[in-house]
Amino acid sequence: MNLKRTEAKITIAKLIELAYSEDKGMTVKIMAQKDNVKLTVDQNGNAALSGSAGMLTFNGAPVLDKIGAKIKRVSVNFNNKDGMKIGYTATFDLEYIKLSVFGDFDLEELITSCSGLLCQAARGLKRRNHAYEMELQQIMGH
Amino acid sequence: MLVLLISSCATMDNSSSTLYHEYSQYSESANKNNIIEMASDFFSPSLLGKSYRTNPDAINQLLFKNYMATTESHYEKINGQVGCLTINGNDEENFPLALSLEYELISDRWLINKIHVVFIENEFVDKATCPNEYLNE
Repeated sequence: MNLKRTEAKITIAKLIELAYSEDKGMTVKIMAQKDNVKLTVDQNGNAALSGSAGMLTFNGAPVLDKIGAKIKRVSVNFNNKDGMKIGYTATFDLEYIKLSVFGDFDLEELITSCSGLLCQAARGLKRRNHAYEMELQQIMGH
Repeated sequence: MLVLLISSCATMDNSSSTLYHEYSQYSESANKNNIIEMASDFFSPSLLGKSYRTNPDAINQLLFKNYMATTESHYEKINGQVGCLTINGNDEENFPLALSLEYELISDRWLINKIHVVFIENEFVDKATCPNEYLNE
């Protein structure tokens, strides 16, 4: 099964949530800066969220492992448009093809969601939670 | 009016649709049962690598045409031995989508060398755009 638009967007949200669960303060500090922020994940799951406020590294493998195809690299450019409104351009490098997806989301909305039921579901990544994925889908602009 | 109609169709003739013609042949003939056998007819050795026959991801990804349910327009440009084809259309959920392909002329055959599936949010591009010309490269 190939990676689809919705799955790509949800993957980005889950990666942000993983960063948030690793270090809440640093994630918000980096993401809330009014400049470009970059998130990369390599094929081994090594993830880095970086911006002028600093860099946070974490393990992105639990998210990438949920994707049906092998991912060689994920690269996301975030652009803080207006306070908590963040635009993104994400590219997924697979073995033979590359996919790009665009969108925007409200950081506060994502984090607020992550403080409750959604984060509990996010941490139970081994099983899919339909309601959680539907909400992430909506937040990520789809 | 007839002149206008003929004139507008002229942009789609074979001379300006070399790459789209190649893509159409791939699109019409490739399926999950034959794509591995036919892969070298459509894709460059560089894209395929050595293990595509046994790679479990190869069939789905080499059938990238399945991302696009309907085609709206196409643009192409050729510069020497390299060409780029952009196909605009919609996915099965009717959301806009672009396929950006780089072709390479190898032994007198145009073969797909790079594949970029772009899930567009707003408007289609109205010119041939190579895979490495999209954002975030």
